Amino acid sequence: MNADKIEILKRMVRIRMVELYVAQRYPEQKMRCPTHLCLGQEAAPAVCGCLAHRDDIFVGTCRSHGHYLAKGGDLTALFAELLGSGKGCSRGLGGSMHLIDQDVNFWGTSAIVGGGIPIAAGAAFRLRYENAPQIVVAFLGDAAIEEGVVYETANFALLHKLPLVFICENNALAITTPIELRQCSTVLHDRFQTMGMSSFYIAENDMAKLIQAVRVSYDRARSGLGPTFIEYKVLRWCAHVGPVFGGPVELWWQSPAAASGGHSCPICILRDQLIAEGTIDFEYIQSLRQQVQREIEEAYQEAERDAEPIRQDPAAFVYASGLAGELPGRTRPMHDVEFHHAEVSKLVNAF
Amino acid sequence: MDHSRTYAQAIAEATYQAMEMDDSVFVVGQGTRDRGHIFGSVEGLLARFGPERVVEMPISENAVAGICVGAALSGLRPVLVLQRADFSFLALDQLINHASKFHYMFGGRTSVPLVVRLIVGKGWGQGPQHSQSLHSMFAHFPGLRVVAPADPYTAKGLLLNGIFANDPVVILEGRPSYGIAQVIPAEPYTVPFGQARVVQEGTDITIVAVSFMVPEAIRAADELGREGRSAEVIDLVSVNPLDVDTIITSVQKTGRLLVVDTSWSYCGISAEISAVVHEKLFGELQSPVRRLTIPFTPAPAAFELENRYYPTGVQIARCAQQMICGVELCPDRPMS
Repeated sequence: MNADKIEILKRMVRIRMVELYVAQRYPEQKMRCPTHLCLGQEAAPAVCGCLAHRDDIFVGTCRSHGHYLAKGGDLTALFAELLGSGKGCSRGLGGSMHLIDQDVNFWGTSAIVGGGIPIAAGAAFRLRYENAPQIVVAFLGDAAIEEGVVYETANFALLHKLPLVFICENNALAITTPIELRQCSTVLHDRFQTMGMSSFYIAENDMAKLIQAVRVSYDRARSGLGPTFIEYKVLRWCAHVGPVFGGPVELWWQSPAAASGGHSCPICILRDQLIAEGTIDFEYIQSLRQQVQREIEEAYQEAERDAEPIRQDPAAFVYASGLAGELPGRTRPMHDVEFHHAEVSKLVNAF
Repeated sequence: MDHSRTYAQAIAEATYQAMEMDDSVFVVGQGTRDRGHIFGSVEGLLARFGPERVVEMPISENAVAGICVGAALSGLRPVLVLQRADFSFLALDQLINHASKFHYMFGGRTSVPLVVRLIVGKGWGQGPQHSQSLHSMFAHFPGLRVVAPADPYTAKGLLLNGIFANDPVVILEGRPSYGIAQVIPAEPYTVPFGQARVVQEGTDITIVAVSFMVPEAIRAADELGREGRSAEVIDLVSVNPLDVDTIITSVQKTGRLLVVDTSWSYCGISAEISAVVHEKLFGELQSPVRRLTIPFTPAPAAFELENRYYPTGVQIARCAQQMICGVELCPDRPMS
């Protein structure tokens, strides 16, 4: 249990530091794509990533650096993608909003609000189709709850008992529009309950309950009990897009005694809990910070050093296969279909 | 014994054989349990493959399209059937923003082997929201293959080709074509994308027809033949990619091109074909390219109005005659 918490802390720290690093380097204008940071929102990715198995599947959103990293996505490939490099995770064709790392089953992200949700359900459909033991985690924000496709998907997922967990990070903002101007109720999870889905509501920075809810939801999905909806209230400390941010982003590595305001930082909260339990000490935090900083700088340097656009003609990536499909070798004898209903038109003789 | 199949049966047979050959193929649609079997096009599938592989869908076109995308990304080969092409508008976010772009926007690391079967209604007053031929719209987007088979042989071969290709494929099936019967191979076979079909050869004019305009074009060619004119009829089959070579070769020979489409001419595939021919054969044409399509209005429901809405063999023949003679020499005249 504590080992999980330390791992969650490490993943949150890594996400926080990567996002700050991106914000710091962004004005150099080498990363030239719309970039949605997740400062303040590190907890859900870290918890979900830490408790998932490597072969579980994640599907993300336009704000998914955190989800990608938490699942184990390659950091250099992330930076390379932001730099438009052919060595990026999407070869520079996707940018910040389209991240993928299939080695760790991070299956991609959509820049259309709610767009990834049915795709995640489709991945879960395949798992059920093949009786595979994995599960799928679909990330969404509060604005996605305004998209019809989310309800359509929830219905399908319930109907087919898909091994799927919806994680709604409710930051109450759609770009800058507050949720009160957009939704009939600012609480989101209960409407899925009325559809028959189990759901959890997690207040801001209630790390213990978040961990518990994710654990239970994963177990439910794995045991064939179907989908679960988790609503987690978060604060977005950054602008919708771009390197502008506020909030207590730097408090976590400062001495708990010296820094006040840590009560709104998920990293500080988990850190303080672990220190109070005697699981880690403040030295640990300092060395973690140095270690992650080193990793980030090395990864960025490597990505920047090789940052050239893809050499191939990007048109080569429009289609996966040629014009002629190939029939698979037949393994079973072919039965004839018997047709009972037939309308035969007068146009028969036209051919 | 000859293996005769209607268009609907050819589709059902292709799906059946694909599902026999590969467990990853499944069908999802509305009405899979109905005794009409989606106009016969999924007959025999449920009984043979069961509810796990013949999935009845909620009326949630976009979610189901997205679920098919997710399943396809996982290596399954979904066949999504919408009883009317018009319903695909509800699924366009998943089909256009997602399915058509995933292979590209993730740098080729993932692919979406998805077939979407769209049935285009006509006859019995289908009206404005059940009659739209959407091939031109789908053809506008890179990343999709778009085909419109006109006969059972092509329908079966294209469907098998689409199921085992690794890209999203949109197949527009003309409801009027469903009853057309033809002797086809019993075995599974493929018809590649990007190939138009020369239905009959001729020397005076090329008539390129789309989907259920092909039989009308054949009627027109027969009529023209009786009048001593020789028309070459081409079934377009593939809307994206376009078989430019077949069309250009034909028009080089005939010097004239008439495009007949089931959809609107404005920004439609008939405009694209005309543009390509003018770009490549400017100066070799003996008359300007002409297009005969439905009028630029929604489809009317009333029987008489609907009948007048679609080009007929007689109109095609008349238009072709005018092009061959020159309009001034050959004013409109009644034809049989």
